[in-house]
Amino acid sequence: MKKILFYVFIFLLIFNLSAQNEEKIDKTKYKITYLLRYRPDTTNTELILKERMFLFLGKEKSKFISEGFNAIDSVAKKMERDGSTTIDLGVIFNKIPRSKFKDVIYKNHPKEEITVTDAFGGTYYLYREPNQLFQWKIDDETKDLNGYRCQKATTSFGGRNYEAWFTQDIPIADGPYKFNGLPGLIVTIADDKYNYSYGLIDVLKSDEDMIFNNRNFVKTTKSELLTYKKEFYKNFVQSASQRGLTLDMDASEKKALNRKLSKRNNNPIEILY
Amino acid sequence: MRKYISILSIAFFTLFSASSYSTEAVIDDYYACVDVTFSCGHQGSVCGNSTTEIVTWIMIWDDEICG
Repeated sequence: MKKILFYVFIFLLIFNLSAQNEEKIDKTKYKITYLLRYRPDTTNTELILKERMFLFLGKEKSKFISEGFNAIDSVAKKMERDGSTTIDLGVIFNKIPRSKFKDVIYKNHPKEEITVTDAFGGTYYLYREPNQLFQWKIDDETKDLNGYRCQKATTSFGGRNYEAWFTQDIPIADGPYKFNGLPGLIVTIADDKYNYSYGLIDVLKSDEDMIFNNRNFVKTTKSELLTYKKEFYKNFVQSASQRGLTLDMDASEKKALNRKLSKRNNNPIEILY
Repeated sequence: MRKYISILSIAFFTLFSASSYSTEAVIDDYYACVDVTFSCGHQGSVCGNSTTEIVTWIMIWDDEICG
């Protein structure tokens, strides 16, 4: 009896370990921090928000994630590990930055593929696209930025025209968001209307594992996902209640929240897809 | 006997946690819903398939509602 129970336990333990939801996909060599400046609301172009974003660069893959979402992930995993049953959101958000960006971009350079995951409305989404999204025009113009000799390049993407400055001092064909394919790391990139601009803050060596969080994703396409998202934020409260979030609010509070969120989400980085 | 119960509990816990990480998306297959007071005072209820998932969604929703 003792032996049977022991084998059952070992079998279940192996089964559980194989079903873990974290997958090590590469070893990070560099952790690069960018500052994103963006205009979230097309009806209030004076409003410019800032967020720090991380680009984890490995031998073959990279992962781009906002500092805030990266921290949310760490807090949640720590709570599960510690067996905590209570969470004080006020205390948590005093310690970690809030983030509007819950999308994570994984670039697989050998496979020439980008995987994007996103989280909204109680659902995790995933889509893939080829990484050769950019037709770069490289210019002869150079200048020094952040101590690096940089060269100018331009491209159009997602309905916006971008000017990038890359450096061959760091010969890695990667950059913030989905941008890649230049003969050096992108130091700054901004669209011509300054709706979205990324600027390098620092490059640090790292030996952290690069983790892919294998959640219960709904596999979709970019166009479907961006359409769902647009619809979701048009009427947040109603959409959220259909997705498992019930809110104890009166009608005027619901209306105000809907208005706030539709404004905060009306200027995505990709406007044509 | 106590030892068996303890091993059985671990085995059931292991089975339970394993089953909550299905590779297919079953959005309505929640195993727990918790009542939450968001950081800006609004109250609500959030559901998920594991502690990590529930905590992640609580923080995501809080970001949306109070951020």
